[in-house]
Amino acid sequence: MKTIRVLTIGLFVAVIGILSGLVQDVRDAQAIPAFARKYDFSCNVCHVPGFPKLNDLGNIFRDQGYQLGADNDLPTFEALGKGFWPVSFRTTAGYELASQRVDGGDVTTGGVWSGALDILSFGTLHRNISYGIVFTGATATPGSGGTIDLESAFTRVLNLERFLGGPTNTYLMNLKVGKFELDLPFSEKRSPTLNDAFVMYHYIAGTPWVQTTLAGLNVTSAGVTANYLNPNQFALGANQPGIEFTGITKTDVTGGYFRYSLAGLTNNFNTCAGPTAFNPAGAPNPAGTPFSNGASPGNSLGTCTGNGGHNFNVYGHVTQSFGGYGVVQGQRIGALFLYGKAPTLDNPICPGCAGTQGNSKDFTRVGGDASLTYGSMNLFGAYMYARDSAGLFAATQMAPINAGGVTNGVFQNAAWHGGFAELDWYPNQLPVLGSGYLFGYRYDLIQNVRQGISSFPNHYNNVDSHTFLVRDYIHQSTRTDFVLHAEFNFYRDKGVGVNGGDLKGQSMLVGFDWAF
Amino acid sequence: MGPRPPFLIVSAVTLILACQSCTGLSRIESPVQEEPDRFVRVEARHGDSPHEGFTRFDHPFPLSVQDWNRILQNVWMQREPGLMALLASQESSIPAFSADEIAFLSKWLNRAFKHAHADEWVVFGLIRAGSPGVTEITTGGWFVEGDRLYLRFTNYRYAVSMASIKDQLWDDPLHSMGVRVYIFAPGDNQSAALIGGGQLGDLRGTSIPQLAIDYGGFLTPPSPAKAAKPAQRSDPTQQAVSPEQGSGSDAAQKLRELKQLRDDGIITEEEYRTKKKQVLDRY
Repeated sequence: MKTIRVLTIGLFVAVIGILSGLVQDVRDAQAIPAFARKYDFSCNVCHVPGFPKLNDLGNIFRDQGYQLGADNDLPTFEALGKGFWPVSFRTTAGYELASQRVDGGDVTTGGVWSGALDILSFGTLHRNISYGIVFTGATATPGSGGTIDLESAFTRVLNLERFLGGPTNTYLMNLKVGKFELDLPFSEKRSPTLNDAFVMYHYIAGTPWVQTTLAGLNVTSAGVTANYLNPNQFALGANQPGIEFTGITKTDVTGGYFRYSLAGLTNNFNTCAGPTAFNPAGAPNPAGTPFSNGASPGNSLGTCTGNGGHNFNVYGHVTQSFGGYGVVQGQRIGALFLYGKAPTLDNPICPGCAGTQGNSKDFTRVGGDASLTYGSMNLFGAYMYARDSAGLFAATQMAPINAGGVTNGVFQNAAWHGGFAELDWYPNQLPVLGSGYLFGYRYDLIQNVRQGISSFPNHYNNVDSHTFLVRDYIHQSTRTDFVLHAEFNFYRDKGVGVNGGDLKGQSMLVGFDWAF
Repeated sequence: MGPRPPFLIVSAVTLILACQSCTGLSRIESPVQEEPDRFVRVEARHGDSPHEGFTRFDHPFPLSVQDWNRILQNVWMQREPGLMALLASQESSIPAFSADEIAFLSKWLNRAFKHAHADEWVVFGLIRAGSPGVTEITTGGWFVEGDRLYLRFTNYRYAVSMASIKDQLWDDPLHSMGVRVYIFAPGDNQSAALIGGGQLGDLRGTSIPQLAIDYGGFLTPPSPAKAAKPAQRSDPTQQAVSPEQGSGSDAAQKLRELKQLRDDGIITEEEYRTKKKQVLDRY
């Protein structure tokens, strides 16, 4: 662990040193170059110098269905015939060093990895009709093959108010249908962090948190952590199938924008993918600890019963900005809520198939967010209170018992606080390094209030995560972007080891991120 | 006990950065004309890699407003051929400056060069309205060496939506954002080149288009036969816009008014497009 820390610090500062010497005339770069090609824009027209984070105009462009309000928005615009094709590619490849440690043992890996290849197509089909498709292919990781996925596919119809006699150049009522990223406080797909997810968007009660890595390192799969089952695998950060009503309007009083998003999400893709509770073979059975389920070593515990159904979740997010959109200019506040039900009932005539409707148990999320700008700095963050109902955990049929078969726990509502705060700085001109850099730091936090099974202590699965990043825009044009990226993360997941120890992980990535 | 490895690394990098800062750029600028959307300044620059080596210019350089007008009218640009050029036909050249810009620059370049010293560039910045929410910024610099007048476009019609980037270009007009869409289309008595970029060169897109103008030959009174047509260039079908025509600003004003009418809901989107096309056709 000490070695990896020294190596990480060394590589991090070495990258800065090398960059400062070799790369003084630098610039900005961005994410869907098909739009840059379409409009002949450089990327920082729509992104902060920190591709892929959208700037104010980029956010408005997205909110308006990839339209600026100009003739060349249309796919039939005659000048678009000159080589324009609405498809972009993006991938990341680099050297990653990662380590995870729990209960005194650790695993470390290092090597050159490539992330997923995103094939992106976004654009307009006609005035006020737009679409988006993201096709993702991931390379094989140790122990698993490559994967492909239609990560996102949606159609949007905008300016519906015109059918109600409203103006034709506003975007108060827009409809999106398909599978898409929710209107999150801050888009994870547009985050400059490449290697580290927003914990709040993906945290599952009962499942020890492990940061994703390109190498696919996951110490929890080795059965050295304790967990309890949770049929509710809903993650805000995952693309969801459903329909979404959105709107945006300029508010003259504040000099900013009011936005809303109200989405109805289908939940029949919920599968009970939570890891099975496990009492590792040969491990001491810690009598009296809350992690022992009283079973023989080596046995899996509990059954997962919720793997389908027909439920409907509702997600909403509203924001109001002041003096701009609130990303590069002005300030912004927002509020979010989610009410959902997760299926817990098996399909009685086909065990293991998609479940049937019924016996769904509810969960809720409520929170707020804020974004502050000052010069070339953007400080933003979000807070969320989450609750999973006791019925979800009871449906797993896990016995909340302690060693010796004594029942000392009960199923109860799980509750936790989640949040993050991130500071991004994209200085115009640094004294030595020049321009074209983005520096970022994010702190992610999970604080549990109650566990789904009372025998697990309240502090179980509390997460503190710190992520640092530097991006240098080596090359940009109206066709391509090429970025050198360095990211370092360390985190602690409290008390998730089978012996009650903390899980500590860190990862360092230095690589290239490009889009074409 | 010696210093710990991280401390040594941090110290070494700090030292490297400190040494590099010794070779940083220093600039002394004096405004000639500053307006919200355009300016002309004279500026002495030292320690600036792509722009150094020209610290003894043949300044001051007296040239009349009319001569500047003629020079500026004959600066033309064309889109740089890229990969897509294989799929698309060659695009025609366009005048580098609008009529308004020519009138502004002629007046203030004349004054700037009268007072510029041998170590001073004459730099400029121009803004044009672009797509909604976007402005196009052109920045660059002029200097004279021997019998040649040089123009560098560090950024030509660079699309900007963020105020901080506009401020950056306004502060340092010879800083290239590294996005080159246009290059010069040289005519008679002109030669074009891409300069600078350092060792990484075009990988970083930092090469800057430069136009060298043989002003002696260029400003020689043309023969009656030659005076009848503009200077020869890649696309002879295009003609420079003279400042006297003045139709550019009128058209721009009309387009702004039409946009306002549309935004206020007084005219429909279709009416707006029809009228816009009519204005542009007349222009």
